[in-house]
Amino acid sequence: MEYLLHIIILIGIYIILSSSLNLIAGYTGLISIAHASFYAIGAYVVALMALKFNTPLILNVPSAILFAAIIGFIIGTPSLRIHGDYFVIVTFAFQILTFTVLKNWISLTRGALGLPGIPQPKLLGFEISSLTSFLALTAALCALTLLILYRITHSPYGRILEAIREDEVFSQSIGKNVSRYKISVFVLGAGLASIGGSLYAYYISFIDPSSFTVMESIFIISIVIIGGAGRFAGPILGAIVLVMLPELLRFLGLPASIAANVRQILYGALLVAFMIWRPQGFIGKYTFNN
Amino acid sequence: MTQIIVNSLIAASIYTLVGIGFSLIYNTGRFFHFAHAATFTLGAYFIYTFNLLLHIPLILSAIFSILGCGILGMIMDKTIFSTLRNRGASALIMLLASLGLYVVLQNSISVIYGDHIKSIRVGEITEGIPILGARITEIQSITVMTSILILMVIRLILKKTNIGISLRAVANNPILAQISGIDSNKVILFSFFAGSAFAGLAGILVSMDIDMTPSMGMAPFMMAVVAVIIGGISSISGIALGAIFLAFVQNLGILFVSSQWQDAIAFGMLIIFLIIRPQGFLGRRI
Amino acid sequence: MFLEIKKICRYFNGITALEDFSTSISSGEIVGLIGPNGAGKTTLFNVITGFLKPDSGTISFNNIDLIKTPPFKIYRLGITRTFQEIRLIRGLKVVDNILLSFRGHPGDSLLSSFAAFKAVSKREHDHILIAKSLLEKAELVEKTNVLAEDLSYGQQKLLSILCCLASDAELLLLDEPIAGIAPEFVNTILAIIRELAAQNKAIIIIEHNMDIILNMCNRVIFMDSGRKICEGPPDIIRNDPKVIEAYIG
Repeated sequence: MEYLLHIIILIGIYIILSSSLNLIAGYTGLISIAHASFYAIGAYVVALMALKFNTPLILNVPSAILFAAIIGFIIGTPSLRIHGDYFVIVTFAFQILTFTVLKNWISLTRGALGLPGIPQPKLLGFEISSLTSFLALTAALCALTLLILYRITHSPYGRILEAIREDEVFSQSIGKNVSRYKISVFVLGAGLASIGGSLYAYYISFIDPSSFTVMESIFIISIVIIGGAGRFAGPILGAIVLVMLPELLRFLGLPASIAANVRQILYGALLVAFMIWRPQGFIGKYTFNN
Repeated sequence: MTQIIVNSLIAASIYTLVGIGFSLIYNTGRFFHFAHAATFTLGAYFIYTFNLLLHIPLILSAIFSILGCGILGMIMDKTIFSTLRNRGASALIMLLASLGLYVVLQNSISVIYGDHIKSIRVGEITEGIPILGARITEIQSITVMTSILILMVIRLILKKTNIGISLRAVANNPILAQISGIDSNKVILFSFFAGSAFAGLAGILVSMDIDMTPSMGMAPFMMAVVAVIIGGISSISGIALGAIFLAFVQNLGILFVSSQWQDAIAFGMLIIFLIIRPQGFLGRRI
Repeated sequence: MFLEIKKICRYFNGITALEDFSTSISSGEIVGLIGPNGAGKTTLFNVITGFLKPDSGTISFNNIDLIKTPPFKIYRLGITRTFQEIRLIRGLKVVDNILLSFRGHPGDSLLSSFAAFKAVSKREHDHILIAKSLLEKAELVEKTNVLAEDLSYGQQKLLSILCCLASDAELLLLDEPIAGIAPEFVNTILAIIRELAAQNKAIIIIEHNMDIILNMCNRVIFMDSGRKICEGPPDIIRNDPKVIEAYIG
């Protein structure tokens, strides 16, 4: 039972991460492999605030969102002037940069040693320590994120995002300030991704740079693509499948030392296979063909 | 100061080797080949296998490893990328497939060899040969000379040989090349072979200098891509120039900020060049 | 409404696309733009809509300098166009294409989709009604929720004109709106164009069919090699020796 709850919490975190990336990559067509950076920013901001100032969740999570959004703005403003595949390269470079900073800025992040002992959060007087209470917190934040994303993607604003994905130049010729939309959507996606990071930091109570690598970024974009980019339910389905699938490997009795690698091989191979046979994923709308 | 120049040259040599391979594949296959980073790593693990596990002499192991990487590149093209090309897949789809392939390869290395550091350095760590007040180890000087040699050879191949001329034709104008009877699939296959072999070679050289881990390919790959973009993706001499420029700025930067910000310097240069001069120093407009 | 073009020049690698081109157009006019392929007609549209910046010359629209204005702002000022090789958001529904074309939707901004939710949904509702009535007028109602790419060629051309109508622009630039489409759509489109002129909109139309140009336009401009060769009412242009030479001789 505990094991099942743990898996559900993980799925919730990945739904937040991949759905927020879906807004950037699936709806707007900006393929980013820097999403683990914003995931990391969320986790580190919450962890550092909780450890150093003992501030409550209600302050930490919004601070993380704000900080991730600001970094998203600083990075997005120059990067989003760069188009297509070159934008992917820029996000890749940013992801590597984030990882080096986390690993080498030892006075702040303690580098590879990580930040242990992140205190358990309190919300409205309740101490969130049991698995069930964490599940409730995850469900609440996940629902909030999805609600925001649903509202956006089903609004006139969301329609413009899809227009930009389909034809950027034409979108300009019908009066849309394309670069502003791109930046706003990148900032928003970055902010929402940090919620996933906050949850992760509180839940595991220990973070280190190894959770926020390029591999993690590729994993998040794989969830979006395999689930179905540009469709609201796509990343939700993707997160459920891709988080659960490797758990089946446990029953094969793989040694723990290689389980993580086998899991990654599995989704890497899935990504290749989907690109060859079904680039729109299970239920996607965007086929990466323009 | 001489040490900065020497260190820059060593780094630039690696960036150039990886960068030439990357741009060969990009200019003919027309996509960003991320799995190139894993090919680099495989070069190191191949020579580890041949030399330390199978006890084949070092030089022979190196040749086997380089060929192994080249053949692996051809297999990648034959199994995945030519299939995608024939379906008219976009560059973005190929890029994502290459990204997936990178994940598969790097983690396969982890599964087979483990995540801890492996070494094929022979003998104890030497201080290096002093040159004009700087120090350079034997393998480092081999690295620099190899990359200069490869640079000259590849230029010669592109200018004088049939395959080189076909390669340039496909890179410049694929449609025209096809009309004049050039089999572009063959040319792309050759680019994968040569490009991957160069990456493998670079991997071998780095592993003999500073050991190996399964994720060792990522950073040099990233730097090579930045060098390629700075220099101009379509120009071989541009790549070398871009590599030297990047390596020099990075090494000079260490004088002022601590070395963890080297990546930040590269990232900044990447953005600046993509916005201000996307064609690089010597390349055509992209 | 007043568009004034003065001495526009535009070269591509030494080839002249537009040279010393001047003209002006006011509300209620239908101006025909004719000339051989490569005469610079479409280039002129690209320059007016801001997608190409001229090498020299000035363009002003209601006394606003268009040269310094980015394309999306030019659209917001009230200039819209169609493309010769039809452009639509092909992966979105017909109705979405029309809804995207309205100017000044409060829901276009991220903040107001949250802060002013009521106002946004009210406006959205109004726009949907207008879109429905436009689709009815064009007899495309049953295609409302079809993807734009699944329409026939003629229906796509019609849709791109409906999008211009939704924008409520003051100046419409139509690039071969009836070329290559079935006769049933031609009449619908011509009727729409006439109605627009009656509503005091200004229209510039590129068309190769001389009968239609001479019938519909108040004024015709004949271009060749980027230059304006002659300009005047249809009756005069019809008898201009240079035009006769280009079209008959």
